Amino acid sequence: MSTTTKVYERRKVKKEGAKRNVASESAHVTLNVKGQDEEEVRVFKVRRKTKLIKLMQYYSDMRGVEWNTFRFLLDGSRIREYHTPDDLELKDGDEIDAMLYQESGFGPSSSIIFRV
Amino acid sequence: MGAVAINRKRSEETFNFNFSPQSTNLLRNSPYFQASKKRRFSFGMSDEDSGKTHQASSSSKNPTVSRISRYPDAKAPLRREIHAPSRGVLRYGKAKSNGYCEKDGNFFLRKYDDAKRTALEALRSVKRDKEFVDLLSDDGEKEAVSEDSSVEEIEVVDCDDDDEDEEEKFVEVKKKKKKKKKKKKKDSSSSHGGVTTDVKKGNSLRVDDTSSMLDSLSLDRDANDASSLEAYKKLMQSAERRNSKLEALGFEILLNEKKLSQLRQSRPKPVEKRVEVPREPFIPLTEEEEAEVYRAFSGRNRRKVLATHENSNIDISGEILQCLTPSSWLNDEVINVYLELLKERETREPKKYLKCHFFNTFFYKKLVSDSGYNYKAVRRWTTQRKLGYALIDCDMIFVPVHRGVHWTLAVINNRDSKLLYLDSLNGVDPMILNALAKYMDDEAKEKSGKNIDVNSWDMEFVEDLPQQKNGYDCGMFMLKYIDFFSRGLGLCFSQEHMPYFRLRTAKEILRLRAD
Repeated sequence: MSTTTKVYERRKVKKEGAKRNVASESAHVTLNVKGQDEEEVRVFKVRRKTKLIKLMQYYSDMRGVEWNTFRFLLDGSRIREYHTPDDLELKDGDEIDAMLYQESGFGPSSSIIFRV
Repeated sequence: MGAVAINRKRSEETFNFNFSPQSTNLLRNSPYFQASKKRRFSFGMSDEDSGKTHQASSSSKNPTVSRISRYPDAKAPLRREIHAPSRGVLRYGKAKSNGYCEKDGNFFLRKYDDAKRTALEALRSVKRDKEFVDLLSDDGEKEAVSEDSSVEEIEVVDCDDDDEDEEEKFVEVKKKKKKKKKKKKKDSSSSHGGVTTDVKKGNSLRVDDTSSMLDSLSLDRDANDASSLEAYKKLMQSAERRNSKLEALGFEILLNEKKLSQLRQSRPKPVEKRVEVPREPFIPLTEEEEAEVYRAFSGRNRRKVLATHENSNIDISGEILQCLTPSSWLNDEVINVYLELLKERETREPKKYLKCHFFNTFFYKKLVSDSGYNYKAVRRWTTQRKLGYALIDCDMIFVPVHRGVHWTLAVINNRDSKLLYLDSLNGVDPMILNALAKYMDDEAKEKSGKNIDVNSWDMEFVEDLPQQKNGYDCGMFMLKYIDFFSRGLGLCFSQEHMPYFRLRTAKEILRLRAD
């Protein structure tokens, strides 16, 4: 899919069931996710108080893998599923890196980066 | 008396032969020849020889006389010409390498060599015999015997060295003998000399020597004490001459050793921060710790989170920890946790460890991706706010590199302005170090506004480092390179330590504390 903000926003809003029209960004954050092996950057808008597991799950679904396949990094620091954007003090346009696990041997470690 | 024992059988026969000195057969058979010599000595030891023959015992009764009588007999055969190309029976089946020897000379040489070898064994007996002789014989015989033995001794020692020494020895002896010869019977010598002239030149020297020696020996036996004394003295002199050579060599050795030690001292010593070099990284696990680790490895702990490193938000479950079991491939969680622990260790005791920064396993991947070098991607990884220090202030910066199926390590040695690449399989990749050099440049400019001249830095692909001998320990090796470097130690471990290191790493992760 193309990186259309709208689509994701819609999704997000659907799930959360509210506030599609909220203009202020205070409740939401736009995050970019960039995969390790792809140039494409996927944009996600999330609520600040929502755990990022949702974002992870979305992305993983998009990539067709299990959600815990990836290691999500923010500026090198690991992000866990129970984190919220507020915890991490995420701002609009922050980039999240989605990296595939690394094992010396098994399979390529493709990286999925969620641009935030 | 092993030598005596060996010759027991032969000595019997020799004994018989001794009474027929004129038989040339004696010479033909080196055993007899050797035995005859031995026989001479062994007669002194009546105990052991008693079992041989009654003749032996009888001889022992009159050891002196019999010995004397036998002595020349034993020798006489040697004096005889041997024209036949006899390849003498070699006692030990060896032929001394004398290419130029043939025929008689060869035979003589071999016999002498064999005699020497046997005499070497007989040396011990010889010495004893000497003593015994002293008891029983008068000076002359004693001299004769001792001279013989001494001659043999000398010969033996020499024969163990190069042939050249033998030759020298021979020459010396020959000279002495010849002097003696001149004093004594010349007939025999000349006759013998006539024999030897038949032989080749190179040969003849030896043959002459041997013959002359034999002559002299025999002469001495016949002669009075004075000559034997003289001979003895001369032999001693020759021995002493050798001693001087030996001393000279000894001095040379000492000199060289001193030079060597001086050079070693003057050599600049490697800078080592650690004095207690290898003890700490190798402390074995206690039983309790081991049990803990094995429990963690067990199947029922797979899903359970065994350790959570909060700072880095990494949970280590049993499943993940199992990558530390032997022959498993390490995964990034474990490595990253461990690197965090190393950082914490340094923070705990900053004086003990170098100032290091440990990048996690994803750093290099971000820095150099498919689209090439990208500083921006990692720009925010090393903010002052995030780290608490400036990256370029660190002594060492460790960059784990994951190459598909292999872990390697790149080190930015800020302290020594070097870039290192360590691969437990000794691979080489200049691209990595180039990228890191560029990174340092960018980082310095961006964060501190400084300009580092990275072009002047050394790039080293470390070759002299512990290597893995299997296909699965690369991750562990990488961790240990980092560990030892951060301690300021050299890489004084090897493949055999890996199982221990795995356990130790597991323990440290479980305890969330690296030591």
